[in-house]
Amino acid sequence: MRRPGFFLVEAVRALRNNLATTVAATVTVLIVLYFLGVFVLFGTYLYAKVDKERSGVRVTVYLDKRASPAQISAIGARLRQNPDVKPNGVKYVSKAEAWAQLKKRVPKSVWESVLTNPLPASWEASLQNPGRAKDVAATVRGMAGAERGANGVRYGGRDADRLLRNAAVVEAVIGGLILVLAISAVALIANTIRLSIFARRREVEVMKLVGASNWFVRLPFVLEGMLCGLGGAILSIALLGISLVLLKDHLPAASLNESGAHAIAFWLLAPLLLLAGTLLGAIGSGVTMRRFLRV
Amino acid sequence: MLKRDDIELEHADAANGNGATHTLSRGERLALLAEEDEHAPRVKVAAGTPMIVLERVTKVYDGRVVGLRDVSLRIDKGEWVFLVGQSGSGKSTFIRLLLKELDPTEGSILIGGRSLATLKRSRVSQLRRNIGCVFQDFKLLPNRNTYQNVAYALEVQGMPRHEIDEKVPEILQLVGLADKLDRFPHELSGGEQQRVSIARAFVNHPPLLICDEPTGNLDPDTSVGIMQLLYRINRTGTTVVMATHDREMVDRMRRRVVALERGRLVRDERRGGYVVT
Repeated sequence: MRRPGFFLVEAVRALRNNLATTVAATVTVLIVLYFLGVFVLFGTYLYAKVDKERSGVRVTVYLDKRASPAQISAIGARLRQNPDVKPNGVKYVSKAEAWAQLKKRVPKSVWESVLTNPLPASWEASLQNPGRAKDVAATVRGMAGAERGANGVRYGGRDADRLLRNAAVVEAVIGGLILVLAISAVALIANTIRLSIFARRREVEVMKLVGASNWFVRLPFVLEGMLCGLGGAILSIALLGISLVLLKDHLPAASLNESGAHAIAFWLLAPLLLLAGTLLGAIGSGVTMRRFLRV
Repeated sequence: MLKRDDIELEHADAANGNGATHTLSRGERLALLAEEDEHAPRVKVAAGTPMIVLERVTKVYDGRVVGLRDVSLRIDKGEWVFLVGQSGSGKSTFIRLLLKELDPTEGSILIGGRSLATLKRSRVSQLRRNIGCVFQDFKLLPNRNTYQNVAYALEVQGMPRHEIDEKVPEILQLVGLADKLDRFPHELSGGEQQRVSIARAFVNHPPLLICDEPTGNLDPDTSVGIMQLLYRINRTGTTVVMATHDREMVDRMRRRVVALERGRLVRDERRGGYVVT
């Protein structure tokens, strides 16, 4: 095609002619993508947070004071052999190291008066799959009993379990909501394009009559849908940016940033939403044309 | 296919003819039409492939309503054919079949030797570029002026702008609308609107022109002008198939008449009248 501008002019002309439906569809896309943006922001934040928590799920085997070096290394070897434990994920924490770590975590007033180091040495094992922590702990407990030298086994307890369970639920809910919203956006764009086809049925009739090819008849409508989606996306990005800035001023937690858990960066989110909007528009007009514009 | 040269000689004819005939009475103009018929040199048409061939074509809608029933017909290149019959006799079905807007239930249709049955969907647009269409209701786009309406047919085919700018004034000259390029359809009379639609149909110089009651909405005087224009186009070698109810025109022109009745072909006369003579 020598004059690609022709189609753009046609699409813009059509959008102007059906201003009311265009505005309706664009506003819908705006709302949908705004929510999508919020979901993605909170979603990525939540995943980052869950990831952070997950990485903290460890199985710790506390060693008996009287355990011999042979017993200690035997327990370590057993842990390394466990298929659920990350390769190189097994670490020996000596009595002194444990004490030093505690000192870092806890305020001075708590440990100041403690004269001797009360903490045992331990093995810490990071897991391939945090969901298996309980099982690993059970295996280790049985094994440690046989080996002797272990004084107790602890794993990233109920908190981690609950967080993981909740993550799965949240995942499903967010995914479902986005799906429903996307479907409604597609339906509304499809409807806009349907009205546009109806408003221009005479033009379409003439186009077919004078021998316009299929894609020539359809392209302006596809462009129309994509422009609708793109417009909605741009507006939603603007609105999202504004609301983030406003929220940040009043509610520091809304920055969705803490060490180790960040939401997706805004400059990454913006093109994602643009793409999503354009795609929604294209799908919407595609759906309509399959039904109403058989040439 | 027609070459551009074929209509060159028609040019001067159109420009002069238009102005001159306006002063003539309807009777005189009809006489002129008949006279042209007698003396005008007919363009020689290759005897080879016929323009349109229908072989035992039947079209049934929804398995009940019969549009066409067992119609066989052959129309040669350069012919002028009147298609007559009451409303519902199958004229529109016939035309829509030729444009492949519909497919026949049975039988086969060949246009220019090409079977429509084996024509791919994606090639239908090519077929339509080679068939000019003129309708009773003109089918002009209301938000485009004369020039743009005609240019649209070429834009749709992806023709470059400089070629369009060359062809459109030329064809508008031919139909006698050179001075109304920037008028919108609502600013034109019925006859002028039909001229625009003829210009649009013929700007490609298609070998086949299909007219569905082109004078149905026009007063008798204007109709004669339109028929003269179509006749000039026919004389360049373009096959014209015209569905019509204009009894006077059919009787005067004495061309081939194909009559349909409830979907059946009931008459095919070489120099027929509107009714059996």
